[in-house]
Amino acid sequence: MNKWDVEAALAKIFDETEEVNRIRKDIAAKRAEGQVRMTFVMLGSLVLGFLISMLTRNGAGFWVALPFAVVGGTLVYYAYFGDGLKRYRMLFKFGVIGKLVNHVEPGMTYEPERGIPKSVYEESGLFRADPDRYQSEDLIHGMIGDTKLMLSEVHAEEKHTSTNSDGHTSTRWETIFKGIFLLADFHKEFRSPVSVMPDVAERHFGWFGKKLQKLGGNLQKMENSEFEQMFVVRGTDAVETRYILTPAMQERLVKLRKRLGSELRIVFRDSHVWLAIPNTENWFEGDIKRPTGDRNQMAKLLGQLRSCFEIVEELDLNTRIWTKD
Amino acid sequence: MIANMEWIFAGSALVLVSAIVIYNGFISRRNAMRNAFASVDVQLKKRWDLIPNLVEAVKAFAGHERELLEAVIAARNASPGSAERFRREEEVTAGINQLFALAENHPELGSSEQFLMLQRNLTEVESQISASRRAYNSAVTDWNEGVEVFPGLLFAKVFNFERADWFEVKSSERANVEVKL
Repeated sequence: MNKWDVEAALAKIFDETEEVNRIRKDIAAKRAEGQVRMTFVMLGSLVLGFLISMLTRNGAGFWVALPFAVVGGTLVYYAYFGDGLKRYRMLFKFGVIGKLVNHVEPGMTYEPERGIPKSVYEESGLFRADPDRYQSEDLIHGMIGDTKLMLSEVHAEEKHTSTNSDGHTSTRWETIFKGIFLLADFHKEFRSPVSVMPDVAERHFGWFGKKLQKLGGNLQKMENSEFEQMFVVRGTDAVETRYILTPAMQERLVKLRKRLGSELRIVFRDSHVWLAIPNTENWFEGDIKRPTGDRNQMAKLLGQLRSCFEIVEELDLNTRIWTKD
Repeated sequence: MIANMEWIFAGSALVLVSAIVIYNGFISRRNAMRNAFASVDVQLKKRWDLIPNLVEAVKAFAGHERELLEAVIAARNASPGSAERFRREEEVTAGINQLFALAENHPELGSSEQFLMLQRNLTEVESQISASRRAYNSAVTDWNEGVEVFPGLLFAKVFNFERADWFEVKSSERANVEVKL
């Protein structure tokens, strides 16, 4: 049986999707009713105010009705919408995604309210700037074969404050990283860290960019030309860098980069591998407008999980022929 | 006249500083090459130390393969300082691979804890040897670029810096390793 098959997955979690879908229907019905009532209250208040203004030939009636429309609409919104959407999303995560994760990888656990701690993010050294605002959710952790794996969605931002000539201060938030952050046990023991970053300098400035890279220090040139065009490798120990980045591993990283995009960042540190996979979309979410067991929705979720879990196989992390267990 | 002298002085200082930078570049490249070579040596010695244990582990199973055992031992006992060193190392690699292949015909050997541990250790060392060789080749490429590219080639001639040779990486070492445990 192919564990990534949508029909098989849907059959496996049929009871859970049915249960969550019943609740979804209740919440959706309440929301639909709320929409009607909210429209009625708001439009009703405005029409009433307009009629009073017409009859009294005074515009004050309409202006008095306006705040009633806003306040009334807001009250109805909270009464009917409330936290229904949030409740459904959490139900979907626990009831559907959690079961789906167990179905495709029984050794993995899904904890939607937890994320990768900020300290782990910082420890990786994947990004230079320390985030001023850090959010992480949808933690999936456990074992795939012999490999310990942990991943979650991460949004890290940096605060920029500037003051103009009039003395006005403005603040803007710049995204350092948004996407999937993954930490896995590497199959070899090593001591010195090795970073594999997108080769931005060479991509933009060609030969001159290549020279510029040297200024960063500890630059290591690899044999695979395609790999070299995609990444810039830095490692303090030339031998250990090559022990990690074997020709086969370079080929695997080239394939991974083609699949996951040009901004993929990788760091090998403390016998672990960290990956930062940029992604603007919010993953592992359920859409209240679609039936819970919607085939396309399920296919999308399975695709997201597969995209993360297959990294273990793609990097051959389960091969344990070296001294590390 | 004074202004001209200043220009000459500034120009000479620039040439001197450039010369020092280029010369130091050669020295650090040479050191990188020597370090990489030394690490190949360290890993080869590690492998040598593991061979007696491997021979001991497979001895009881090597009925018809006695000659193979003797060949591995002979290759191992070749003097590490001799000119034949690296040719012998290739023989050792081939011999070790054949010893591992014995496990396919002798399931008891394949399931022996000691044998499996040795196999892992030797695979580890082989990976380290391969990494060291590649690091050495990378250092040699850097060095040779310095020797052949202007203005480095002028210094190479003056200080008698010569091209260095790479380790040849066999096609079998480039291929993905598939080891069954």
